[in-house]
Amino acid sequence: MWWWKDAFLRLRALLLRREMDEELQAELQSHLEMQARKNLSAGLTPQEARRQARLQFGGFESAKEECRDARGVNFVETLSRDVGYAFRGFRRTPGFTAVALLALMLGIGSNTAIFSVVYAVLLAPLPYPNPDQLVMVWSKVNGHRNSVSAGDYLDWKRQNTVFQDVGAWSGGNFNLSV
Amino acid sequence: MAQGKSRLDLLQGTLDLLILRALRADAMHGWAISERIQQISRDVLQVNQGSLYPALHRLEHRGWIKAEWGISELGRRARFYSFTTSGRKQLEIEADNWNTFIDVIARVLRMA
Repeated sequence: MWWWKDAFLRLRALLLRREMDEELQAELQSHLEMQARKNLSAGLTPQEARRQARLQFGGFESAKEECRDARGVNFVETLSRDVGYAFRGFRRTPGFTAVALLALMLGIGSNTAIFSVVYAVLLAPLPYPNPDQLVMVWSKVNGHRNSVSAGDYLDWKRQNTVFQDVGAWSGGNFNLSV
Repeated sequence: MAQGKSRLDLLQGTLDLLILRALRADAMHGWAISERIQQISRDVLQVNQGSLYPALHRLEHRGWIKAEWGISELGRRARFYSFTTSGRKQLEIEADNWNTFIDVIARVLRMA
């Protein structure tokens, strides 16, 4: 499995970023020296040998950049730089930042408040055993749903064969003093 | 550098194969690898030295080669690359792919 080796190298590259950059610099630098030495032995002057070595190598900085890409740290570096840039932007425009923060706070806050009500009223299961088996029965008057009269309720309860049990509830008004 | 002879740029994707092949015998640093490739190709293949190192680092990440710091023949620190077991397998795979590829191209070219 090569991925753990890859992950290890990436982690190392991330944590030891400066060391890795120095290593890379040293590696490419030693290449240039060896090429210059070869050029020197071909009869060039020391200065010309070094110059030719650079030319033969091609883009030095772009090669370094590609090596960093191969190590896959460029992504993290770019990301951290982008985040830093964003925060500096916020500091520069406090008015805009305040408005954006306020809008987010209100949005998230009201969403949370509304959802907690909706959850308690509509979504949360009722506090009875087997709430999924609970049903509500109505009587029908002129084709419309209607509350059940006390007599009907007592009949239904007595003659019930389909439900485990039948119960009734009714609303009421009270005056409370606290 | 030998002039006058026409040189071929590397085909996309063949650099990995050449690097693995060059490292088969013994550990080498980057410069020696580029020299070796030019040497065994009798100076026909031109390895872009700048693109050699990204390829080496990529291969190292894939676990096909490993790198160690050592002392070069100049007495300076240099990074030596060597084969791993999975690199050996990869060389076989890539060599097979390459042979299939040239077979197919040759067949297409022979087609009237």
